Amino acid sequence: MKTLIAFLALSTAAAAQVTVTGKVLYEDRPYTSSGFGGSVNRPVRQAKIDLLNSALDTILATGFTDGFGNYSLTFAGPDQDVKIRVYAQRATGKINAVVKNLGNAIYTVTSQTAVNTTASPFSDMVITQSGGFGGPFNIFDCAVKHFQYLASLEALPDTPPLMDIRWPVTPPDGTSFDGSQIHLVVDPPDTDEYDDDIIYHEMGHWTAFHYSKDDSPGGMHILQAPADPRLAWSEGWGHYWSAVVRQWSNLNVHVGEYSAPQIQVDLLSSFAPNWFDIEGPSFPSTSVMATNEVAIAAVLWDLVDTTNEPFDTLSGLEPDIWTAVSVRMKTMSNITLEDFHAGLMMDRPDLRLAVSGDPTTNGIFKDRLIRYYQDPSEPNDNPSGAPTLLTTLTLRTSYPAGDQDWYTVNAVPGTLVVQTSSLGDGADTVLQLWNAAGTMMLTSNDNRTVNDKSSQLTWSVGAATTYKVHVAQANPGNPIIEYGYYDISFTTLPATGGKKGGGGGCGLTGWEAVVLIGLVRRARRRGPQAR
Amino acid sequence: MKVRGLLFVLALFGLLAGGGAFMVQRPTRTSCKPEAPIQLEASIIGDPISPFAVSAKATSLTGDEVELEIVLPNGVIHLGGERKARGKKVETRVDLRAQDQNPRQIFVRASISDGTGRISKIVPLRLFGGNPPGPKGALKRDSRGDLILEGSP
Repeated sequence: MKTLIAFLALSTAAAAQVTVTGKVLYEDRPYTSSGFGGSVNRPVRQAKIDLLNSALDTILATGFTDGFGNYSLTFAGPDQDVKIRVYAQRATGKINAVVKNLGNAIYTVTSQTAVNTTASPFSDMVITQSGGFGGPFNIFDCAVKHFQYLASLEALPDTPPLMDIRWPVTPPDGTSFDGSQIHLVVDPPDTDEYDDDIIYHEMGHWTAFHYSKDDSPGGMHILQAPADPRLAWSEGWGHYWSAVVRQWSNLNVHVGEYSAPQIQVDLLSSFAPNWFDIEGPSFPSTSVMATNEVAIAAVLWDLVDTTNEPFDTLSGLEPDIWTAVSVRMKTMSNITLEDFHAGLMMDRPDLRLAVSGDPTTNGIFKDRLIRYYQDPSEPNDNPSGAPTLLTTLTLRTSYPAGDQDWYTVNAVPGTLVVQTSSLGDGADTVLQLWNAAGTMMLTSNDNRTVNDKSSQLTWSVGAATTYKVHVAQANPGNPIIEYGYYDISFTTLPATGGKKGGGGGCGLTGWEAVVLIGLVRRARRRGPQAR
Repeated sequence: MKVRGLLFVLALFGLLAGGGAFMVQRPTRTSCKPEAPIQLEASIIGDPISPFAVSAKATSLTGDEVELEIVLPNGVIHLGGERKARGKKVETRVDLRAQDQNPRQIFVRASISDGTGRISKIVPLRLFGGNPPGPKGALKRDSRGDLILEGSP
């Protein structure tokens, strides 16, 4: 009897269960480097969704939309009028993202009219651009794609670190990630909510912060100019991340959604957008060296893309890039492209030539004038093996880290001038002149001028003498750049005073300067008589 | 009376202290977006209530040519002057008239484009306090107590 009662009770409960189903879409705005195209409706994927009573004061059921925007919410009945509320938020399922305004309010959309549950499946809810919420849900979908791509590289917990995105932010703040929040700025005509490339770029910074290391000093940067190598890495990584997430999305979410993942577009409402290409790359003459963000994005992209050129024989290296970034670089300091290269080489030394190139072979890095290989003067780490410098040697590298370069100079009488020039990859040379045995330093120079990190020294030579010249990168204790490259040359100017010895940046020793100043003062005191 | 006076002073002090706290400047976040290597100046000359002008000057910092353009919204009538100019250092001025006093924005854009990419700087000029509309929606708390901005489809 008891069993029968229990069975009847369960049956009644089961019969009272009410399930509503439906689908949520948002209005997306596809684009190319020419600007926006027509809008399309795309599913609101993986978003938190509530089923509410018609008064909106009771949550009847809660759940998430699936990968196609579908929802299925069940509650204990009875059938009644209900509304649906969808959030630009999810904190489970290997996704942890929320889109809020600056006032800390989560973007949600609630169905306008209550519908009776008996009408399930409900008609599609479409979140429009004109309603003002299409943009936030596009940002949320970018976050979903980002986390899904990240999960393809990394074993994520059910709740990964929070990605807190704020839109709209107003100037003077700029679109950025500050270690806590991603800020997307509305500065008409640049409004960012449909700027997927820019949104993924900021998510790249979020990724570096949570899964790698980012030492960028920040600040203004120009695509066509060299930047602090830490800043260049950080921004180059952001461009790369944007491209690979879109490439992944093309294959796994919406086929062909992004017409050219290698193109980075910044949309400007109805104006022709800003854009650049990391495959070409754009601005090819300035997109070079480890101090340029486009060059860095270009080499990372060449490691993964399937478009190969004579200098680029690699593709599909996303897992290796991820290991270098998320495992190897975490413990390094002053993060630059050098650290990425070092990290990659730890696990994939077999790729050294294809990645770096060498003095006679082109490679992905070398094609962008990034020279992470030993130069032909090696081995010249000691004065004893120093090759003779005849006039000029080009493209000498300080590779690997801590590399010391020695050269022999056979000087004739006159003023010997030795210099480094054409610095590359952020090099900052220190130049020293030593005696022939390499046992006594005679003079040295770090920076040629305040704004020029190349080096130049002069030395008065009385009789033909052999010297050793030493070149290394500055700041050995806390280097930002450890590699870098330079040209080195020397010349001898005709002797002016026939004096021997001396040295230093201006060609005078201390005592010579004292004597010179004394002579000048004496001449001034004498006035016209001195003429 | 003395108590009221004291309360007034305290209230005033509180307001000033609060105001001071609001006035503390937090550091501006630098944009992650690359800057265009262009020096761009643009300004409104005259009062937009009557015919007015916009002048713009752009200088390339890289030696590449700059395309300078003054983009007018609907409701602003072009009376004269070149709206576009091109060169390493360019200047232009247009005479304009606003049809009414509705808020609008004129955009002055300077771009460098070499065929492999385009990078530009834009200066918005606001007429009659034209500000971008904020997102719509109602601020409320959901049943969980979370602050939400609720919109409709």
